[in-house]
Amino acid sequence: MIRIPGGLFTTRPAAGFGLVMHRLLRFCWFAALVMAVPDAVKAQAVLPDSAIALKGIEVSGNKRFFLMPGMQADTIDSLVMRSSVAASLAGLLGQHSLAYIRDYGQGNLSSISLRGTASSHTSLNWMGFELNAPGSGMSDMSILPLFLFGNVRLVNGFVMVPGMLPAGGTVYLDPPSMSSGRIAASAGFSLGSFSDFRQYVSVYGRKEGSACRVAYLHQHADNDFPYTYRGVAYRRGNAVSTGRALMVNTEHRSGRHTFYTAAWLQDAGREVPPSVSAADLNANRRDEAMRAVLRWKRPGVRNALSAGVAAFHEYLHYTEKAGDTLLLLDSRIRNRSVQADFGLDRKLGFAGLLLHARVSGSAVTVNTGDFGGSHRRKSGGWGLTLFKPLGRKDWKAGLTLRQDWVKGMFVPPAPSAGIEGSIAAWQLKAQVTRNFRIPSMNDVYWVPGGNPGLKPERGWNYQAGIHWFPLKHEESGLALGVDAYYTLVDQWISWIPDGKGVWTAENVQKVEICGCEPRLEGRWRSGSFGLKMNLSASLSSSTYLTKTGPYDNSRGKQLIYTPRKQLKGALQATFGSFVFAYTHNFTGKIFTVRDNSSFLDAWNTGSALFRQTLPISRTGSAELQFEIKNCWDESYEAVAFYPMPGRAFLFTLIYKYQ
Amino acid sequence: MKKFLLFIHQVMPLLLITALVFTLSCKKDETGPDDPAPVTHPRVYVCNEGPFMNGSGSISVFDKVTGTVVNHLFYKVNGFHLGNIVQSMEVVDETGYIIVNNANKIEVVRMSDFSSLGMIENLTLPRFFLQIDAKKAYVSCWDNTVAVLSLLTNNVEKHAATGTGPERMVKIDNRVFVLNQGGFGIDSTITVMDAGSDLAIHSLQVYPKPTGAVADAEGKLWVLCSGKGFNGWPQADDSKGHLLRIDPLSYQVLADYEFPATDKHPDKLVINQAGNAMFYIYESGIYRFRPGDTALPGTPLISHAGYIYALGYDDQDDMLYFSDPVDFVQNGWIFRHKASDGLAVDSFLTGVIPTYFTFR
Repeated sequence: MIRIPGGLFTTRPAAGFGLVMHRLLRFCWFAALVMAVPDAVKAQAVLPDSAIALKGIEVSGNKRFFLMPGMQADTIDSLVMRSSVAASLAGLLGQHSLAYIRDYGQGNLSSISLRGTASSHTSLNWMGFELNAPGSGMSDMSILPLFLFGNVRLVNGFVMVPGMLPAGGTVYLDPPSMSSGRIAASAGFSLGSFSDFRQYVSVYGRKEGSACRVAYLHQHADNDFPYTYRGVAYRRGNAVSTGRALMVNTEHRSGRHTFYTAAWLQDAGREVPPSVSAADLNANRRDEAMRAVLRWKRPGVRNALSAGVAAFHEYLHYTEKAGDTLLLLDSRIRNRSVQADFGLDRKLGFAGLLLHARVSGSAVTVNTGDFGGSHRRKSGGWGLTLFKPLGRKDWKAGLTLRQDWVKGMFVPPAPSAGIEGSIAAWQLKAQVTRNFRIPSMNDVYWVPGGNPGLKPERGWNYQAGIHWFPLKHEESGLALGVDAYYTLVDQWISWIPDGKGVWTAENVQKVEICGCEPRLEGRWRSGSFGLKMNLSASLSSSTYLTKTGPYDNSRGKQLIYTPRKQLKGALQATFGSFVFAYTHNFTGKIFTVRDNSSFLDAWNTGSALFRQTLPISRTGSAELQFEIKNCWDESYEAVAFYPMPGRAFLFTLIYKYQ
Repeated sequence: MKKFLLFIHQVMPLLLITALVFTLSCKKDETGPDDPAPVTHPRVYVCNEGPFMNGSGSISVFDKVTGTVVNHLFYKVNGFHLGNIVQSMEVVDETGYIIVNNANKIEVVRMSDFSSLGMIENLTLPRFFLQIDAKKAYVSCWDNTVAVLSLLTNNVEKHAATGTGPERMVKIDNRVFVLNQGGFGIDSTITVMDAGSDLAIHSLQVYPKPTGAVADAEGKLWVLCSGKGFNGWPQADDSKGHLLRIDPLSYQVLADYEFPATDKHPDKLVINQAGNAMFYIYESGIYRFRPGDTALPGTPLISHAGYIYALGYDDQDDMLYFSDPVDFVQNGWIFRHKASDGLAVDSFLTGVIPTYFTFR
């Protein structure tokens, strides 16, 4: 028999500081227990029947926030964030937004497509700074654990992120809340199918004007899910993923000044499974990152100031082997970047105008043998935005001019104008924005094929939305709306072979993207029973308008890996502290080659979640969560010849102290 | 309860309208090309590599009499894909051997109906297949070996060491000349193997990247070396291409034709049935060289506006076939020209990255 140290569960301690220490110790003991469990539990999780799956499902709602009127902005519902503690950013967006995730299979590379664009047309932003790798211009969203973040927002429209004004959109990763009382902590674990095991610990404390939160995550998964190919059953091999991440956030208030700091260490190691049509190349990938941010804000009645500086260091090592010895590929990429910005919000003295001004700069260095050495890029930019409240209630308009600068490259000025407001139960909005995207460092410097003469992509985006709120009560609500968009991107960068067969980055194409996103949301509550549902769809056409050469058959064809149709629905029922949620995703046919002669069939997936919160004491509670992912056991691929897992399960237990 | 009924009353019509709109916006997905028809005429099989990394290669078949093309032939007959990077295909009697490079296998098919007879595995990055006699064949592999394959059992019996990145092979009498192109690097040797013992008996030093070899009417070996470097990406240490005539017995270089520039590299080499005219790819064109010529030709026999990736010669009707993969992520084109005068005959679309021709 194991004796529990100190009899912490049986002796009632003294009140005051002693009580706090008692509860903190109890939490630490529980956390230590949770962190010690993994190997034993991992061994039990090998059998598929005992398996458990990923990530939570709940109804997401639209919460409005913006800088520029007329944009489409979605905030992932806080309840969804709460139940997605085990999920990656890819898993969250794939299930709870209209983003399409190009997913190579559980635990593997995942990139995003928003509104029919390519992955490099979506900006990923953390605390105001760009996270996309400067080399590829995109991010692997499967290695970004949601446990570290407080909120996720998606914005389609004008933003002030460096390097681009993205045609697809911007994903903001917000830091966790730093207003959770004096002390709070949580610890837990998830145990899922395919030997998926995750542990989480976070500790938060506040004293007077200072607060600190430390979060740590450890993850291991074999990802050896079964699949069938050529009528033969296999298990996914060479697919083990491991990862750990530590994030420290602080906030310090001194008078009118507030300082935020964040440090983020991450180490993700993965075996990279081959496509089922290829032999195993024993591919391995390691992603390491050290990121630090310092941000300052000084709010005021007339003027508000903010500034920030960030330093990122990222390292990627990728290898492939044929057999045990023949090294086919050994690629190492080091990214170092320093970014800084300064912003001013000022109420002007006439017509209620509000001015937002911002300047930013960055220096990025990419060092890789694939470039033949090290290359540095310096860039900067400024933006001026004027907001004007209009005569009617809730109506406002904005006008912006943004100009970015990159050494050795002409970046077009990017104006934007938007307006939004309400008439009775109707909400209307519209925005027009000039987009641009600076070529990634790979596009410019990759050997061979990088093109130093590349120009930024440029285009215009028009979007408008109309939303109707026929029912808007405390207990019930109903909203129906549609957002439509049209984007024309010129000088679209494609890697195509030149006449001599060398793949080269060229500004050769013009791409037209148009689509609409109808949405329906409803909620109803009576006593402790609540019901929420939403249904949203994305109908998007993304086509090439030009040919890359005389024999090119891609003109008028849909971009590869951008679905024309998606439908997502969610239903959430709550009864007291019990929650049941179901989400359903339909993804239409996806083309895999540019002349659209090959495609992946459409698929449907559904996920169910059950969660119960159990109060343990006045300050402690336990959350038990059980998820069934892909509950209809659909067999599908999101990337050709990369099977996705079938039905899977995930059990999560989190203890929270506050 | 009244509120709930009101809520349902208001929500349901909207739900139905939304579902109806979405349903109407969907239409049945189109399937691929037509089903394969039985092919009884002389035909050309085209190996299509397929999308790089995450795709499957395919086989297209072109009926030379009717001019019809059937793509994805193997998939349509067998119901599953060949695998990643279909590199080449050879036929032994009525059995086809399809080399699937990145899947480390050879798919064996019955030529009469193209049905799968099975797979040959235990190969590392196989490239090309050469029948030695009725009982065995060689398969060049990028683990720097030639696999000796029993045609009786379809098993790999042994591996013989070569230079780096062995590719094309040509048999002259009882000797097999294996071109070591270098794989992911550079090699400049030819491994000579004894076809009886399967042993390497000599290593012949040539110029960097030997890429094509044929035997002429006199039984002499012609080797095309691309030279170090890539077309379109000139570097300081690039070297010129060479066309060599070699005595297959003494290994003596009988003639050495040097290409004029270090930044332009010739590729592929085929010879006509009479053995008196060779063809190769150079500078977006196809050039013809006759064994008696004293210098390399300065103008192409065939010019092409795109990129030429594969080259084949059909000795049944003295026709040259070459491919243009366009951007490597869509179906590629095949162009047919008369080998005698280079005149264009026709063109047709095949699969993604057409890379090899097999004539039947």
